[in-house]
Amino acid sequence: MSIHPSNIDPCDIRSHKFTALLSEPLGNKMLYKLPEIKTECMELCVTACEKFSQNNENAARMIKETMDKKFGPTWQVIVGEGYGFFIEHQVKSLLYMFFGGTTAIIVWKCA
Amino acid sequence: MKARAGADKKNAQPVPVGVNLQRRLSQAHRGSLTGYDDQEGGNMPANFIDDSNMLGRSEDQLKLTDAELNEEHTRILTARNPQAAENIIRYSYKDRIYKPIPHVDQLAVHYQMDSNLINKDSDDAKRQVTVDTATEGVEVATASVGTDAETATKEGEDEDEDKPKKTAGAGGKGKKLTNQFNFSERASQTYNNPCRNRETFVEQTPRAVFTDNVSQWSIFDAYNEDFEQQQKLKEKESKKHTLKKDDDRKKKFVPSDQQAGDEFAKFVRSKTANISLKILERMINLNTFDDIAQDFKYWEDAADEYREQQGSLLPLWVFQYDMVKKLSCTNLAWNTQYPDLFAASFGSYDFLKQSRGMFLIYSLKNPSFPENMFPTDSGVMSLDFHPKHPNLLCCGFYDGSVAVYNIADENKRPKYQSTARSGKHTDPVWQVRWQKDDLDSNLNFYSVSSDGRVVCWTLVKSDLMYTDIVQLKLDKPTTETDEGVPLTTLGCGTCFDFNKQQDYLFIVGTEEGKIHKCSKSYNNQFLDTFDAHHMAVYAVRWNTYHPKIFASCSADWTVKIWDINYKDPLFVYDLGSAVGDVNWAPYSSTVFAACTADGKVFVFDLNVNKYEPLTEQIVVQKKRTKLTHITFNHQFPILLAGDDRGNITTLKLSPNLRKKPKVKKGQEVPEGPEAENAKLDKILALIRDPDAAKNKPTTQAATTTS
Repeated sequence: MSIHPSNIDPCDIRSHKFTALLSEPLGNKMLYKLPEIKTECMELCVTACEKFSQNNENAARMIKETMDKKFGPTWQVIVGEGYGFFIEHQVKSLLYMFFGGTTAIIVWKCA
Repeated sequence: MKARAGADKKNAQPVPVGVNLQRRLSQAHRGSLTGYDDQEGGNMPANFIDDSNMLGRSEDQLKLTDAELNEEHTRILTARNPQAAENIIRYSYKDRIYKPIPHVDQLAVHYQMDSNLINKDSDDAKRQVTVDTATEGVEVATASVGTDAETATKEGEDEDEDKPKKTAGAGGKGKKLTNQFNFSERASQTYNNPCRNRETFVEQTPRAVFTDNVSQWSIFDAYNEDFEQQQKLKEKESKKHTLKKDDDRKKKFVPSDQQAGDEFAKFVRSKTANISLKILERMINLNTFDDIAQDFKYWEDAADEYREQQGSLLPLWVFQYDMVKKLSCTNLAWNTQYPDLFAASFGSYDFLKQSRGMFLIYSLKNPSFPENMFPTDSGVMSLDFHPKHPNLLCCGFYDGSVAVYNIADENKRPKYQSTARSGKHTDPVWQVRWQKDDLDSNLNFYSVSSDGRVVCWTLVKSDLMYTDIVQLKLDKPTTETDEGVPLTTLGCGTCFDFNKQQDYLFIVGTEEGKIHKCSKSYNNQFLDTFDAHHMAVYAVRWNTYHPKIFASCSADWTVKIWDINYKDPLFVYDLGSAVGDVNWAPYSSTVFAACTADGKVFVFDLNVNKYEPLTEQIVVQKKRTKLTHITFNHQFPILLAGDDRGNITTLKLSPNLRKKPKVKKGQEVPEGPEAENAKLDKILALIRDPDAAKNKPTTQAATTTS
């Protein structure tokens, strides 16, 4: 669906789009993971954030622990709404995604 | 104790008379503590009551009167050592006189025992304790060996000084009580295994750096982007659907095919790939037909030992090719240079069904596919390999033309081809045969055809020149037309063969059943004619060794063996069905094989059995296939049989069929053509009994066998 700006109040555009977009649970900014792990990890993040929608810390903890158990020893997870980062990660083990229009999740592995 | 107490013994009143209550110390038996005890056994029985001993005296005791006994003697106890001297005079150097020592030491040590305890509160003990605690404190503060040594030596000194002193029990809590004299700390060190450091450096896992800043507006922007991209995708998809699907597919297919095809074709046709592919193909074939290959090489029919007069044919490979399935095999020829290479020509014998033809080059090493195939416009009726140039092949076609091919050529066109102008036959060419190079060293070959001509073709530069050699004239009286022009009718030649020893001599078989003996030099006349068969003669063959014997086979079901000098056949065999081909074995002068239209192969050995075949075997797979040609391989003991379904069967001859005649021990085995000739001559002599010179052969001929 295309939203033509002419027939909608400009102030409403953003909110309209926003809410429209929010109907999809997440949009991916960048994925850089091994394909087998990618989908599982994404689903895990979605589950975690839905479960701990108020508490990012618990969500992050859940994600990190599950990832460690499943895929390997050291995963780092950041769940938040406003932060900057500069990380060094193992090649092909980085997931960077947005969820629910507000939270950004970054998961990476560094041995 | 009682003894001491009894020091005042004299005060005690002894009662000597009869009562043994008290005894004098000196008189009492030593060792007895109580007077009233019974003496223990074992000791001197001082209780021995005796008159002399009533008083307890010993015999040498001083005897005193009672008065004397009752005297009181005073004794005074003093603490003086009775042993010590009472007056010791010592010379005093100071006074220069002898002086008595005032005090004499009166101490008598009765018993001395060293103990190992000192009073806790005594000075010595206290001193010792302080020493010990001091050493402890030093040890705790510094762990150096030097101080330990000091304290050790210190302790040692203390030891020497306070020899009779012992360690105090108290020394601080938890301090070990050690025996200073007897205590020695012993330590032992176990062997420490030598340690080695090993280190290795692992490749670092590949890392990358990633950086970003997350904020609400960046998230929003990302969502927007994503949204727009999805919109674009949707539009594209809808556009795609409107395009024609076929075109897309076609476009997709053709380029990919071409691409793939080009690359692959290039690869396949490259020379190096060709060789390796060929080798690979042969290897695969060898694997597939492994057991056949083994049989070909090694299998000998063991049953042949038990049946002398019989042999068998083991079918080996069957050569088939799709494109010749409907054609008959018209001729088989082995290559002169490569014993595993043979050429098979295919065409149709049917007069009405004439279509294309083909000849294939097969190798025994690759039974599944021909090495080479040459399609032709009309059926190929015969072919022959040149003996000296194994790549040259001449063939005769159904349409009467002949051609020479170079099979090494890439293109499948003949090198030379006869045309209508250059003397091609007007009827099918049934047989072609290379001859020796002529005087100008040009290659030449002969052909015989149904138009009654035997023609010699010479390859001159790039042309094919023909020369009529013989015309097969019939003996029929010429019909007389009204105009009176005599027509010479010609017979139809079907086969010919050149004598191996005398090259100019050759025999021609005809459709009328006659066999003509001809010479290259005589054009118009036959040297001789044999009324051989009732129907068309399909093959005539000279014996490999014997210059005078030849065989012929015909559609009248018979195979006949002839001597060139005699009009009548030597042997006649009725095989029950039209005989397509007969051929002599290259290794023996008495073995020949024939194939018939009912799919059987017959192998005869005149040496073993003159009247019956050694083997009679059906070799075709389907019924009603006719065998059209049969040929021996020069090197291996195998036969090739071609049939009218386009199959060529290889058969291995069992040992009985390849026998050499038995020799007496000690004699050399005769080898070579002379021996073979002699062998045949012997047989012939047997037949031609001198008694009935002419009758015998006829009677022999009459006794036909099937």
